[in-house]
Amino acid sequence: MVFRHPCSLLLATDGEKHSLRAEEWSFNLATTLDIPLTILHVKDPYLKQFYNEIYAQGRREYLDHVDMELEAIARELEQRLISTARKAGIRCAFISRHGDPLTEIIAEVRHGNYDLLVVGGKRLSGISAFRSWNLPARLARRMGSVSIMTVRSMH
Amino acid sequence: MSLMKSMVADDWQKYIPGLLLCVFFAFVVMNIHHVLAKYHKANEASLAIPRLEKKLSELEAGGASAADIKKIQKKLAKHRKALAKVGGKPGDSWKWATLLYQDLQFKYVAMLLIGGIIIRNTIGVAKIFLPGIGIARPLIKPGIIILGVHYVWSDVAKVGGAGLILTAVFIFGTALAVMYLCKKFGVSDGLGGIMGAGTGVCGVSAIIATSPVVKAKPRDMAYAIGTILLFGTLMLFVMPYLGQALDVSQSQFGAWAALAILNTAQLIAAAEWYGEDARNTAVLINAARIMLIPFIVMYTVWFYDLKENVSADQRGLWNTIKGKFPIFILGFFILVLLNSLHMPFLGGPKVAHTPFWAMNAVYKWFFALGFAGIGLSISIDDMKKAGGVAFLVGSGAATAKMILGLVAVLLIGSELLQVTGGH
Amino acid sequence: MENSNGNNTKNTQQASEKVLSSEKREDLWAIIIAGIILILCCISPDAIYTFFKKSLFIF
Repeated sequence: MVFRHPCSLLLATDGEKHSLRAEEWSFNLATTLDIPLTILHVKDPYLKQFYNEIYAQGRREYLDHVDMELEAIARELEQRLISTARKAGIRCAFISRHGDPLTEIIAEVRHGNYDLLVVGGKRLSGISAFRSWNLPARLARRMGSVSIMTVRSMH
Repeated sequence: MSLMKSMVADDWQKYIPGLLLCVFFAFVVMNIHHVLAKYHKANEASLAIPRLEKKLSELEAGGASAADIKKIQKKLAKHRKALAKVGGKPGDSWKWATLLYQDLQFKYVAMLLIGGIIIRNTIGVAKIFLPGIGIARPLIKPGIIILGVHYVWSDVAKVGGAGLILTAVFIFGTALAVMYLCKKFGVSDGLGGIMGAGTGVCGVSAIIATSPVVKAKPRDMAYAIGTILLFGTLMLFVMPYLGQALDVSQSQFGAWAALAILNTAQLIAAAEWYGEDARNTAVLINAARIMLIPFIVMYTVWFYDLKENVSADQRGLWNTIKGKFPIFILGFFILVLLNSLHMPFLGGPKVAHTPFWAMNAVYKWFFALGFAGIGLSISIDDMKKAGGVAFLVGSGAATAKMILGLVAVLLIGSELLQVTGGH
Repeated sequence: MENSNGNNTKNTQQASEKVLSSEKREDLWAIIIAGIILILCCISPDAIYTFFKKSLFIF
């Protein structure tokens, strides 16, 4: 039996607590397998939909503020992850997309040639399972032939 | 020309589908409401007519005054007309209509909001409709302006004045308490600021106005908006039933809702649902309340010492008022002024065949369109984002405001909060 | 390490510009609509009343 060696890895992260272990795992995988790692961050403009709330004043400042904050988060994440990757000697690229995370991650998976997608996930049970949007589960349903690895957070 | 152009959004076409959906939804629901009201009135008439006929014959036999007899005859004629509208006769029963319309308060507000929420969260709303649904919500504003014909300056001075003092105490009391507690427990200034403003006045609108100033983080904003939406929706559905159970008067309910329900649209919806007098009080106190938005922004800037976060052209009292004042409320006050002048050719909402009487027939349609937009915009997924410290702060503030608000309006009594409309 | 869809960022900023003071526009429209209704009600109160209180209810 011949195993095809995986040749590329995609990490989708928002930089939040529940993604930290997924980041560690993907760095370890990229080092062990000696393959390039692509880091994807999606700037989710979710908050912008509220700008035209009735009576809302200062809408332009609000939209600009959301844009600025999303940019700042993306920049900070890029700096942190790229420097970690460099230290570990990993070949690494950082991609930033803008839009709905589910749609954009799937678009990137289809657009690139990846063998494995790594995402972080919260531990879900009871009410938190009901409340969660559960992105990893939604992704898993729409990944086609690309494999997905959900790394559960410790919290 | 450029002014005309700036009045229309470049991509106005994208609003059409959603707007049409709201028009259709509102039209269907208003007609259902109309049918329910018609059969409810017929049901009441069917029960009242035999009683009134008996009373009339007793009065006639007893030689009562012509005025008393005329009064009963007038009532009888009204009930007969209601019965004739559905082609019924005394003794017929339409208990289902009374159950739905009166007991369960299943009126157009409830149908549009509950129906909208069900549609949005089950079958969903296609993306093409979303921009138009968003634009339908502010159609409440012309409705509010038109409602100006219900007030005179003495109402504004009395109810608005009492409301302004009440809301100012509650708004700044909540904002101060929330911001102080957040600071004490080490919550970031961004979250403390938006939660203070959000739970103090106008919910999401206040979060939008203050978040750029306090540099709130997106995650905190999502938590805060989710929490505010969750409690606003809860209050909207719970308070009218709670008010009925506690036998709160119409005007007291209007004031209570204006103190406890954060989002303006939800406040108007709850009050309109409760009754006409509740709505009149709520709209007036709300007019006073939304004028406080610029001041809550200034207050936040002062509390967190954030002057450097505000650009130079937006600093100071006048610039803040200019930038954050909801100018449409001036339209409302212009109509209040016109109504207060008692100009005979404008008439009044209850003077038949006059302009203000006709205007009074229009406002409900604007409200219906706005409520259709609000119902279809309420997404449970957004509310699920409520969480973290924002949830704790929001639930504490919402509960405290609801209880203290009720105590305050019960202490004040109905009289001071009653809108007279000059009558 | 580059931004693969940097255009999106630009688009978002443009969207922000487009809604420049949309709250003021919304408020002015509310006043204009109410003004139009007032004028129509002055011209023909009965027609407006009948349309909104009767004609629109088809059942």
